[in-house]
Amino acid sequence: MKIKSFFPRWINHYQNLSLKWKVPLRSIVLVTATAITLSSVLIYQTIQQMQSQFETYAANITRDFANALAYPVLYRDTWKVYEFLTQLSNHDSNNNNLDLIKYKNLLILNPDMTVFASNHPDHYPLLSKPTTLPLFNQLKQLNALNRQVVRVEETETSYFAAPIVNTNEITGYFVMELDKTPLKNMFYHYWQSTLLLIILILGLLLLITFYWAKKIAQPLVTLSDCLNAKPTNRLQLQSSCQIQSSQDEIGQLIQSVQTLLATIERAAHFEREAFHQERFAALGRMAAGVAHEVNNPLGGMLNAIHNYRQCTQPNEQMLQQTLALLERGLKQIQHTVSSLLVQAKYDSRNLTCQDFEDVLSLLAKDIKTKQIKIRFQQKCAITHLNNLPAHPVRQVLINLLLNAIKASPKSSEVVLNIYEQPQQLIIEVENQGTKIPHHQLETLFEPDFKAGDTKRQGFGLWICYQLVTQLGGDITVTSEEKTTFKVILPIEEADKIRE
Amino acid sequence: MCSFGNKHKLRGYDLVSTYQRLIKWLNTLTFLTLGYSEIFLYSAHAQEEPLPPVNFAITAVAFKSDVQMLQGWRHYLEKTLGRQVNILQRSSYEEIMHLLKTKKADFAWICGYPYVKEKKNLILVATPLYKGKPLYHSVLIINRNNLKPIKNIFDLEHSILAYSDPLSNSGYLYPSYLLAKWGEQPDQFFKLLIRTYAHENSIKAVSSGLADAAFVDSYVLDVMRQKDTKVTDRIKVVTQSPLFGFPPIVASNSVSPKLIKDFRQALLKMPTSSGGKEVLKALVLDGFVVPSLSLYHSIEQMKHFVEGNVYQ
Repeated sequence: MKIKSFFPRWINHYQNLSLKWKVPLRSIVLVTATAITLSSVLIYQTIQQMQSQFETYAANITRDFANALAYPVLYRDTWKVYEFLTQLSNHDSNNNNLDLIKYKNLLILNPDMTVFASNHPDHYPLLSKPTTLPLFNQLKQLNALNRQVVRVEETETSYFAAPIVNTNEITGYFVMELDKTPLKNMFYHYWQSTLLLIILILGLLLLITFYWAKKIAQPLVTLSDCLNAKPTNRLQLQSSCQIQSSQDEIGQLIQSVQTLLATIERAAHFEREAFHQERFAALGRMAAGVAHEVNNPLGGMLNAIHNYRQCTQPNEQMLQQTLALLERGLKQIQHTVSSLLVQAKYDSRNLTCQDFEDVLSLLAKDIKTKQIKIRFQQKCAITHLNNLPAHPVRQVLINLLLNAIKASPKSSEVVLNIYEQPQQLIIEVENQGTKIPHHQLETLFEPDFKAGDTKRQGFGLWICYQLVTQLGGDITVTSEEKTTFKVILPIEEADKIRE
Repeated sequence: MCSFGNKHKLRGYDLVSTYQRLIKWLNTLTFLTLGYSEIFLYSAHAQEEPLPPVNFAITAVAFKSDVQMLQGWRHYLEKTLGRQVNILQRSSYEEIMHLLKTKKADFAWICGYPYVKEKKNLILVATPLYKGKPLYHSVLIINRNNLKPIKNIFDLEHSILAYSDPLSNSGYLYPSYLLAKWGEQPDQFFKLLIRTYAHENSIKAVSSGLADAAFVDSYVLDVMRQKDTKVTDRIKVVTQSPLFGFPPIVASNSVSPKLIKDFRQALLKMPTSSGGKEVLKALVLDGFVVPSLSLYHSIEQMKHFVEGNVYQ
C-alpha cells in the first residue's frame, strides 16, 4: 500500500493500458533513453577530446612561438617582436585552420616580468608589470630545461605561457591569451548538428520501433480480445481468433487455452450429467417419499374398506368408524400433498421491522420450553424493507428459527442477524447444534417425508428453499462448529415477484 | 634568371661546369632569399653586347617599399639607361653603406646623415623634390591619448622613443642633436629606444601605444596621412625641426662619370616621361633636382655636434 501511494495516478492509468499501446510505449521509452544516453556519452566524450586536443594544440603553438621568438627577444628587437605578435593576432581571421585560435593578447615578458612587447601596447605598456595576468605568479615556476607550458582557464579566456629559452637561460616569457568563444561556438555547433542528426535518426528508429512493438503486441491483444469474447468452446475460439499459428509463447498459449476449453467442455458435460442424475435421484427420492407417505394411509384405508365389507351386518357405528378412518387417511394424504404445494401467494403487505419482532413473539413458547437465548442483531436502519412482501419472509424466518431451536442444545444461543447489502437483504440464523454431516448438507433442502424421525428435517427447509427461490433469492448453509443458514434476498427484484 | 650560365661558353671542364652550377645555385638562392628584390632581366641588346648591370640600393626606411612601384622604377631606368638595373633592398642604411663601400651598389638612395658621414666617397646624383622643394622636416609625434603636457623632446624623459634607423637624420640624428645640446644622450635620457626599421613603423609604434613618441620624416608622415588615416588619426604632432635636405640619391665614387650623368638625367627626366611620372606619383614626389652641396650642411653640423667635433 505504501509503495502504491508513491506512484502518481497516471502510473495506475498506465498499468491498465492495453498492451497494444504499452509495448510500443515501453519500446519507445527504451529506444529514446538509449539514444539519449549514447548520444550524451558520445557528445561528452567528443567535446572532451576536442577540448584536450585544443589545449594540446594551444600549448604546442605557445611553445613553438616561444622558440620562434628566441632570437628577436635575445637581440631585444622590440619592433620585430611587436610586428610578429600583431601579425599573429591579425592573421587568425583569414586562416580557416586557425579558426579555433583567436588571440586576445599576446605578451612577451622580460625575465624580470616586465612587458617586453605585446600586440596591445595600450593594454600592456612596455616595461610595466602585468600583475593582473592570471598566471603571472605561475611564470616563476617555469624552468628553462623542460620548457613546460603553464595554463590557466577562465570562463572567457585561456591563458598559456611558455619560457623563451636561449642556451638554457630564460630570456623572456611568451604569454598567450586565447579567446574561448570560437571553441565554445564549435562545441555548440557540434552539439547542435549531432542533436539534429540524432533526432532525425531517432525519429526513424521510433517509427520502426513503434511498428515493430505493435506487431509484437498484436497476437497478445488479439488473443485477449478473443478471450474477452468468452468463448465456451473451441469452435467459438477458432472462429473469433484469427491468429497465425506458431510455436512461440503465443502459439503455446492458444494451444493451452484450447486444451483448457476442451477440459471445460468436458467438465460442463459431466456437470450437466451429474445435475440430471442428481435431479432424477432427488425426484426418485421424493417420489418414493410421497409414495410411502400416501401408501401408508392408503393401506389403512383399503384395510378399513375391506374390513367393512367383510362385515355381514355392518352397523352404524362401524360405518362411522370406517368413515372416520378413511377421513383420517385422506387427511394424512392431503397433508402430505399440500406440504409439497408451497405456493407463495402473498398478501400485498410489505415487510417491516415489526415483522421480525412478531416472529420472535410467535416463537416465544418454543424458545421458553428449550430455554434458548435469542440474540437478535438487527440494525433496523434498513431502508428497502418495504420492497419485500411480509408473508413469505415471515414464513422463511419462522421456519429457519424453528429449525434452529430444534437443532440447538438446551440453554444454548441462537443468533439472528439481519442486515442490508447493496440491493440485498441478508438474513443469517446461527445455532450451536451438532455439525450436519456433509452428505446430509447436499440434500438438506429436499422435502423429507420421514418426518417422524426427529433427526430428519421434515418440510420446513424445503418450504424455505421454495419461498426464497420464488423471491429470486438464494439460501445457503454452512455447518462447522456452528450451523449458519444464510438467506440472500434481492430487494429490487421483490416488486416484480409480487406483481 | 640564370644569367651567369650564359656568359661562360666554356665546356668540357668539370671545374668550370661545377663553378657555373655553383654560381647558378647561389644566384637562385639569393633570388629566393631576397624575393623579388633582385631581378635580372636581359634585353636583346644586352645579350649582344652586355653592359654590366647597374646596382641601385634602397631601403624602406624613408618610403614604403612597394614591389610594384620598384618594378616600374626599374623598368623606367632600364629603358632610359639601356642596360640592366638591379634594385637591391636592405633593411638599414648601414647595409646600404656597406654595399656602396664594397662596390656592390653603384647608386643608392640614402639619408642625409649617412651621406654626410661618407661624403668623401660619395657623389651626389640627385635629390627628390617633395612639394616642389628638396626639403623636409623631422617631426616629433606622440599618441593622441597621451595626456602629458609634452611640448618638446625634454618632456619625454624616461619615455619610450621609437626611431627608424640609427643612421636616419630625422629619426635619430636630430633628436640626438637636440639632447646633445643639453648634454644628454638618447640611451640615458629615454627609458627605452625601439628601433623600427622605418619611419612608417615609428608612426605605427606611436599610434598603437608601443612607443610614447618618435621623430619621423615629414614626407613619410604626409604620405601616410593620405593612405592610412586609421594610424595617423591616433597620433598628434608636437613639434617639428627646421628644414633639412631631402634624402639624396648618391653614387659610389667608383662609378664612371658617364653612368652618373646618365643616371642623373634619367632621374631628372622622370616628371616628363610616362613611366617616370607613374613612379613619382607612387612615391608622392614631384621630381628630382641636382642639389647644391650646402643643402646637407645643417645635417653635417648636427653630425659634428653629436659626435663632439664642433666646428662652425
